[in-house]
Amino acid sequence: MKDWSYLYASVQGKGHIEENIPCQDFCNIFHHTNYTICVVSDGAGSCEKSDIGSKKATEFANTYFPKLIEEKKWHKPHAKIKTKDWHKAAIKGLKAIRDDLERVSISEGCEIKELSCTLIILIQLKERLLITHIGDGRAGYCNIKDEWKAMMKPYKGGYSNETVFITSNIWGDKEKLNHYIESRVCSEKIKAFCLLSDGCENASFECYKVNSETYVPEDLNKPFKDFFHENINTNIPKLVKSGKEPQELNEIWKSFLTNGNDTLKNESDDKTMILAVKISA
Amino acid sequence: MNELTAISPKNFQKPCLCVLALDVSSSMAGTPILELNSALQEFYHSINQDDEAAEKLEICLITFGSEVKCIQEPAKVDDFKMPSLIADGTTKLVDGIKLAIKQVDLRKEYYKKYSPQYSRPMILVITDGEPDSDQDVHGLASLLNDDMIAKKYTLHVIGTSGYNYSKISQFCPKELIYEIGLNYSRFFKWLSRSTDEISSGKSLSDISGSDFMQQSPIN
Repeated sequence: MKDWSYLYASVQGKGHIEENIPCQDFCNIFHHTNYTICVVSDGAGSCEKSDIGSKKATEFANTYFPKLIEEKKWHKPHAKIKTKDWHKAAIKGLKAIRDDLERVSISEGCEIKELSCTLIILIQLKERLLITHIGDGRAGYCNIKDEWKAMMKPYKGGYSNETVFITSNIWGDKEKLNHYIESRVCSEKIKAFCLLSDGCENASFECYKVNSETYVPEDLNKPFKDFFHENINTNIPKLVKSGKEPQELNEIWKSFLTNGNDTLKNESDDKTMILAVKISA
Repeated sequence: MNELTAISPKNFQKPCLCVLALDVSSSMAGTPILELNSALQEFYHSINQDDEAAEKLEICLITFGSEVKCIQEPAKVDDFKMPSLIADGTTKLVDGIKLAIKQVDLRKEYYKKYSPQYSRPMILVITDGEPDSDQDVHGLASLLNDDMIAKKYTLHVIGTSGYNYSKISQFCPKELIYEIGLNYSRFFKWLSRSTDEISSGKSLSDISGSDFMQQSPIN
């Protein structure tokens, strides 16, 4: 998307570095005429080939979602998009990705569950954002009043680090699909947005806070303004205007996600974040 | 040069319950109980010095001899002092594990009410012997099998010098039995940095630094 900069990277968490486990997260940005697709996928830690699953799922998102957007003409100016229509289309797209993962599992000689991964797909149109996801992770945006808001609610299982995956056994039941897959349309005017795997949530979101009145912990699911504010308003525009190429920006971003502050540095899980920033002239 | 900067929020740590079910039967008297007491103190101090672990780890202590007792309800290290154990009596091991499971159930009820997320509780049983002959070993085997399928908690039996592998394996899946000889100190040092991975359901032998533990022969 013109006038926007995209910083994206996936890096190994501290635990995976120590144990020499490959990064199981993957992310990518795909630019199309009049829209951009951003994808974040987090491979299940307990599955041996989930790094392949997350990489393939990200690629497949760019196979099916452009077709879907262009068929519906949602990339055309002033297209009307209802949340329920987007949700229905997104489920179709996610199912096609799941079926392709099944084909990958056959060629890899493993069960599809070995490729288990979560998926967050965001379509940035000129006037709105479409988001759909299955599993955990977080996403948020900053409107032109500098207010940060969440764009999705992660699905968390009973225990921490448990969630649902695109490979999970949910596809034959419509009720289950509506329970596990969430799709939203955001029509506010925005200046930045972020998508992240759960490895970045402690650093950038208010996730688990103790309510000061009830003393009961709750998941606020709120992007933490102090994490983003200076970066989107000052640091990133400055880097872009200094002539840094996208690849250089991503290297800086990678280093930032690796050890930008103590929370990032000490995180044991893999970390992925896409941060998109509108650069004013 | 830091081209990007960020301040992170202070998020609440998801609680993680570690139940230690400890054999205090008379066969533990002498060096074993001294070693165990010393290792428990070291464990306590290691957790206390690790801010993150101290904030999230809740420790519960069960002892089993002729009697089974919960000598420490689930609590963070800030809220209790590690007691010193005395060896005496027989080995009500099955009842000790059942009490550990009961503590897990009670704490999970509490978490469900008061915590948006919590880690899978873990039970670590340390014994140098075998259950008394009147203990319901088969009933426990069936209970553990159901609970493992339901992923209610992780459980491992750590056998120390003299433990009876064939008796323990009558109720505990063989892959969950490990032997440490008299390496109490090493075990608890390792435990203090491995609780996240144990809670995630990882096999102990896959966790780094576990090479001193022998997975008992599967036969």
